[in-house]
Amino acid sequence: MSEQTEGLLSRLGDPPAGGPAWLDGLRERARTHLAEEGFPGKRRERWRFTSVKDVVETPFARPDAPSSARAWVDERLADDGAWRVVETDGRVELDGAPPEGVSVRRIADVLAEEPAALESALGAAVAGEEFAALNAALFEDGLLVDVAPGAQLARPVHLVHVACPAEAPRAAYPRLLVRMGTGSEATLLESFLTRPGGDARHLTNAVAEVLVGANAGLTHVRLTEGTDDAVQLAYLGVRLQRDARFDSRVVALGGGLCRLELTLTFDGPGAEARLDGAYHVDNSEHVDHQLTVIHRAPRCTSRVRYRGLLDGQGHAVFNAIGVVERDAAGSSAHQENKNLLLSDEATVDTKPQLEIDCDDVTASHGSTVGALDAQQLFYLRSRGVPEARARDILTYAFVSAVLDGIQPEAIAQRARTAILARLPHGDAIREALG
Amino acid sequence: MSMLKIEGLHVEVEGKAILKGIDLAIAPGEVHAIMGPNGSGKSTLSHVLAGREGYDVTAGTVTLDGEDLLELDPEDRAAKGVFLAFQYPVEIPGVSNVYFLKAAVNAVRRARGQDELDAVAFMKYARQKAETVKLPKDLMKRSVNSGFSGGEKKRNEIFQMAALEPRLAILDETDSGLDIDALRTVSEGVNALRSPERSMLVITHYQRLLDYIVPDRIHVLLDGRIVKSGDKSLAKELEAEGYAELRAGA
Repeated sequence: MSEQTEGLLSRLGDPPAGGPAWLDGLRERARTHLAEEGFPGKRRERWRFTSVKDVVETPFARPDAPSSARAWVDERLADDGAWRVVETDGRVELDGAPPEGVSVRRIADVLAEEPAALESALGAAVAGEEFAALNAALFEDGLLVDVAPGAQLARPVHLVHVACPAEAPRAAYPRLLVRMGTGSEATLLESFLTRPGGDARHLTNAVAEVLVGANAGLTHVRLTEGTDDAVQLAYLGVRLQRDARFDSRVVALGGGLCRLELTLTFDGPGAEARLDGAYHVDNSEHVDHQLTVIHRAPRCTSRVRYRGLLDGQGHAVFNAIGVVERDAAGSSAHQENKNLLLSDEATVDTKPQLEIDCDDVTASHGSTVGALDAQQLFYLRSRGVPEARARDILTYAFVSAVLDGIQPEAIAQRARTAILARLPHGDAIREALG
Repeated sequence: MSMLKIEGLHVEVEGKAILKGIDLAIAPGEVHAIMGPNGSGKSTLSHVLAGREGYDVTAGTVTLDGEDLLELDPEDRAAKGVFLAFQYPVEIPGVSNVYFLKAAVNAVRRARGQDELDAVAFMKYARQKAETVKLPKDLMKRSVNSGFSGGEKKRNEIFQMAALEPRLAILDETDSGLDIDALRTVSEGVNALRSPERSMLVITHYQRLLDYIVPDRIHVLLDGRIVKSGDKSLAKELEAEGYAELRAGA
């Protein structure tokens, strides 16, 4: 075991006790993995452009129970029509009844009451490696969302994760498990916010697993509003059964270090995944997206479209691998990453790639780093919009396009507000367009 | 006095002469059509009038109400009352159609010394304009031209034209790619906007459009020059004889 790994694990303390035997086994395997492999360094391809040396050396401690962030969230966010759940540094509060057709429970409660219900599901979509193993070893609570077969939720569910930095470095290990029953449909919004507090660094090590049943559809909007001292090392694993649909919109707005590994597997034929994302970096922020799409079953469609806005001395990393396995005939796999450079000192490392082991496939991949679209610019100016304002509007549109088509409108609006709050001249853009 | 006056206009693209001496005057309230085959310079003319990049004006003048247009940025031309309905309207995902138009209308109002419209006043204004050109309501909320059909895009151009109330409207092949129903709807929208204070320049490849938008004058553009002008009957003549005869004559 490396000193680093040993240091971090020992500081973080023993895994939560009192769980079922299978969970103790899962945690033990995770710790063993970390002990043997250590935390990833730059020698690993997927970590080449993102250093976690600082993170591993930071003396993070488990948070003492922080005060609930529910009131802070309700004050900060307008009512978006969704059923809201607030999770404060990994601790979930449930308030009121969820929309009809969905059961929402604290993972801590389920583990205490009927642990068998989670045995085959936890860890099914996210492999227990690297920082996912850290979460597996240490998580205490989280959210279990079960959408009943055939249910169509009338309201979205909004899970608000709140990081609460203190005077000393803290870490939180949120866990989410979503199971969409056969033929069900739902919209889930996840927001990651930081409640101002102490100045120390804060690590959010989140793992979310989404299991979409046959012919079910989930729209998932994931919004992160980063801060300089916030570290997010997150995992999202998705598995799709026959004819399932997953519509993902990721919006990552900065942060000292914000990384998401998204792994999606087609387990049944005829399923569809739309993986759209937008990120913005400024100052010395670092945002990293690692996507893996595995076509294991035939006739599935995946379309990855990520857009990045790069300002200041920001650094963005985008890496996507589309794997089409031998039996996945009739697959369609497309990957695109477009970046807009607003500063000479910002950088992006982008690498969409495909690994195809099957003849009958439609596939494409590509990435660009460029400037604003000249035709769009002329179009706005020909309508009387002065050039500087037209550039502002197009810069905003480049990012906000990721939200096109999201219903209800209030959900998209919430994300747009967050985008405008970060952009140069955001107030002027809001005034021009609002 | 002419509203739009083009004299001796020569335009090059990357050193290649495209327009080779255009003279054209449009009086207030008149609708002129320019017809011509592919490559005759029709779209170049519309782009140069609207101020698109990539064109070198090597000789000639263009004035609107006596003011030099060629020295103005595109947005300043829009403020003076120039409007170009694009042949290929541009998609802008991420910005809703109606908010895009609000930004445009208020920019133009500001430049014209008028008060800007607040959100409530603008919505009322936009709904009324949408009514004029029969724009379906859901197109106002969607992103600018994004995923619109060909007909919807052209109708959206006319909607913008209605809202921006131009002095000079240039319609660049507004009919191309439209079926007859869409053509009729778009033409009705254009006709509803004809007025004694507004001039129009309708650029088209096909005579068919001019059955619906009946012009006061028709000019035939061939190889960068206007080779023939006449009244609306010229369109029928061209339909019967084609451009070949004129080409032989030129």
